[in-house]
Amino acid sequence: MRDWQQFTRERLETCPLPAAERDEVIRELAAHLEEGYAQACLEGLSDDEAFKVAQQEIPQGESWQVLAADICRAKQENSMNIRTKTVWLPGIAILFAAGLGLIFLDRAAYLQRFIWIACMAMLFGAADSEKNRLSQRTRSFWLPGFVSMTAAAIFLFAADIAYEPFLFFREITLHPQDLLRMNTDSLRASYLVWLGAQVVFGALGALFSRRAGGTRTSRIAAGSFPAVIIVGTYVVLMPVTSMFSGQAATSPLPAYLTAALLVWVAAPAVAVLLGAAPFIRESNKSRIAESC
Amino acid sequence: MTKRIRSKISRGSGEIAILSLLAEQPLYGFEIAKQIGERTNGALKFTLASLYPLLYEMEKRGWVEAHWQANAAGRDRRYYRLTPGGRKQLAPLREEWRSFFQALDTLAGVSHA
Repeated sequence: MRDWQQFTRERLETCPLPAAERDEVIRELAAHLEEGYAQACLEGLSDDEAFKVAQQEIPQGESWQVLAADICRAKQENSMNIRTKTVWLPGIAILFAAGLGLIFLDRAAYLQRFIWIACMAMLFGAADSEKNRLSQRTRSFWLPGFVSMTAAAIFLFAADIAYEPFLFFREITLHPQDLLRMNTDSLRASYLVWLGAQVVFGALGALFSRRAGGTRTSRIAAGSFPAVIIVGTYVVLMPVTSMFSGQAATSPLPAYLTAALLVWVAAPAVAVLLGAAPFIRESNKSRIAESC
Repeated sequence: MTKRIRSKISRGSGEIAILSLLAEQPLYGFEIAKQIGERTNGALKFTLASLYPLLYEMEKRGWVEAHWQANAAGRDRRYYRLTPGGRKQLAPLREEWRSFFQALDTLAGVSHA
């Protein structure tokens, strides 16, 4: 005798509905599975075959985590949380605009960092307020990616302060020549420690993504988020900053640019992917859930 | 974009299929899926994953309401029935689909008859 309620409960444990509501959903879905199983048995299928028929209620390529998210979204009210509307979103918009302006103008580097951290904190606050309405992609890619990236950024700031405090509070530019200025032992040590830590941040992103039921692609993307953002910085911010600060004429030498790409893009990318690698494989638990 | 359009069409067809069935009599989830499959010769197929999010969404909008009821064998089932609000939705939905098929027919010779 199969316990369909237990079967369903194990697979919907991530569904963040109030307990009574979740219990009712589990009861109803379990009854549906049981009915399909009983009908298949009546048609002469063996126990195992009937069990497989019942499992096909979750089509291949979909998962129970996706179903749980769909059910939550269907059951939740559509209106946005009042705190999100009045606090988080306006706060994020103001900070984001201010931070972007400072980046383009290449001013107040230390302030940019605090603004950036505050912005990410507010974003996580908003995600928490709206957790029942988040799509599966947000849960398994965007949020783990932002967590990984924010952890990497905070660590970089902390390493700066620990190794070269005076650099943290001075104007910095995004010019490759400056990014490659590692002329002291403490700067080199700071970089190496930060690079080593990327392994942890890659692992963090991929782990959170896996816990949220992310696909293999989501896990790789979430784990490599910090490196992707650095690439974005190179492709978008550096040229724009050069233009705004009137330094376009002193365009970076190709050799500097290549070296900076290797140091700040390629090396961290390899490090985050190394960290993410153990979590890219399917866990036993998710393999069971996916197969059902 | 293509996926989104396909998803909207699929969702819309699901809504009208469920509302039409429930307009005849209250049914529980498994029976809704079974009848839709049988009456469309398998052209429309609902699984647990596609049916319940849609039913819960319709319940939230007030188009259907549900109650638990045990059958003769003592098995609990959650029956859905159309509300007056849901019944009001049915006519405009039918009209929308009729217009949709007429438009397709005009454009591509795809007739629903």
